[in-house]
Amino acid sequence: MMCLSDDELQMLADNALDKKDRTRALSHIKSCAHCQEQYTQIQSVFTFLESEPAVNLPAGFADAVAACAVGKYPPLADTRLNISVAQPVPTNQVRTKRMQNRIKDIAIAAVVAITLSILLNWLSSNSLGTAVDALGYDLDTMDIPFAYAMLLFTLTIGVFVIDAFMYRRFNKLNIHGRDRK
Amino acid sequence: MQRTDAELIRRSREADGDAFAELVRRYEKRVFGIVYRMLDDYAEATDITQETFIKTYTHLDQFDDERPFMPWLATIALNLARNSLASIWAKRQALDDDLSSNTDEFTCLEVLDEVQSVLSHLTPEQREVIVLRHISDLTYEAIAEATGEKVSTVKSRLFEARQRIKLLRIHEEAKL
Repeated sequence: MMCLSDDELQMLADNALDKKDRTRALSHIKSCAHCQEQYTQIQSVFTFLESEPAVNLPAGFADAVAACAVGKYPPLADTRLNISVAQPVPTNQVRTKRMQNRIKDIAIAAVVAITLSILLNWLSSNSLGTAVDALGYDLDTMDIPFAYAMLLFTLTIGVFVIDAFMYRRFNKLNIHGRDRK
Repeated sequence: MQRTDAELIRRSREADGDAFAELVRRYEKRVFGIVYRMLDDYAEATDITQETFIKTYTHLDQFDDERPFMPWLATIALNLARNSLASIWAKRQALDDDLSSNTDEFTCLEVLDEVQSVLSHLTPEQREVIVLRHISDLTYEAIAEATGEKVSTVKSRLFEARQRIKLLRIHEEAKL
């Protein structure tokens, strides 16, 4: 039988050969001085590398780490429970919730828009309006359709912004069962 | 009767501190071995070992119960050790500069054991495979998974590293 290759010797030492090849390799090593020497050298490197470090972890390390991990973080069981218990929200409830949110958003947007229109009106009739005119905004020439267009525009933007915020929050709460930090 | 890893992991997921402590006790030496042999810095290795187990605890729900625990743990430890290596080298470089004019202090910082001295002559990639094979007792396949390399690459790196270690030891013995 031919001598074992470096790869075979390494795999033998690493216990990575299958049973048949291992038996064959070991029987060859018994009868071949060269392979026996090579194998002994590999084993001596193994023994050397597997010697324990001159230093160890401090006493009580495991208990301290476990106390830190279990105490510092919420119990995993609770987290898993929250996830598994969280049932899919029925579609009709989702629709109702979205509708409520939308009404709330429209109400908020309306308040903002009315406030803006009052401010606009005040600026146009006040001396401050002159300053605004000086900046290039001719509020006196604003006609009523344009003022309504501005009002509608503000309302639409307000609804979109607030709705996006509210919907994201509502959706997030239901997916994870709780607020994520 | 000794409880199995699977049982300890299941109980740890239910926030059983004693079960998790037992799991830590079972693997702390091997994890510390990986990290210490990689970093060669006792304080940092202790911190990283602790971080490894805390990270393990917080991610236990992601562990696949059908697979062995050690390769998964070794991957976490290895990744944390890799992240720490850069800062360790920077710190060491600064320390070397400070001590270059003071040989007495430098003598105190000599490596504590021969293995550490030999490992310092290997490339980080060679050191990784040696540590995972000999300290963690991982198979070629598990090492390949932990390092993200092919099995053939792992085998050739192990071979090169062992050849280098053999030569270094011969060289050291010749000096004595």
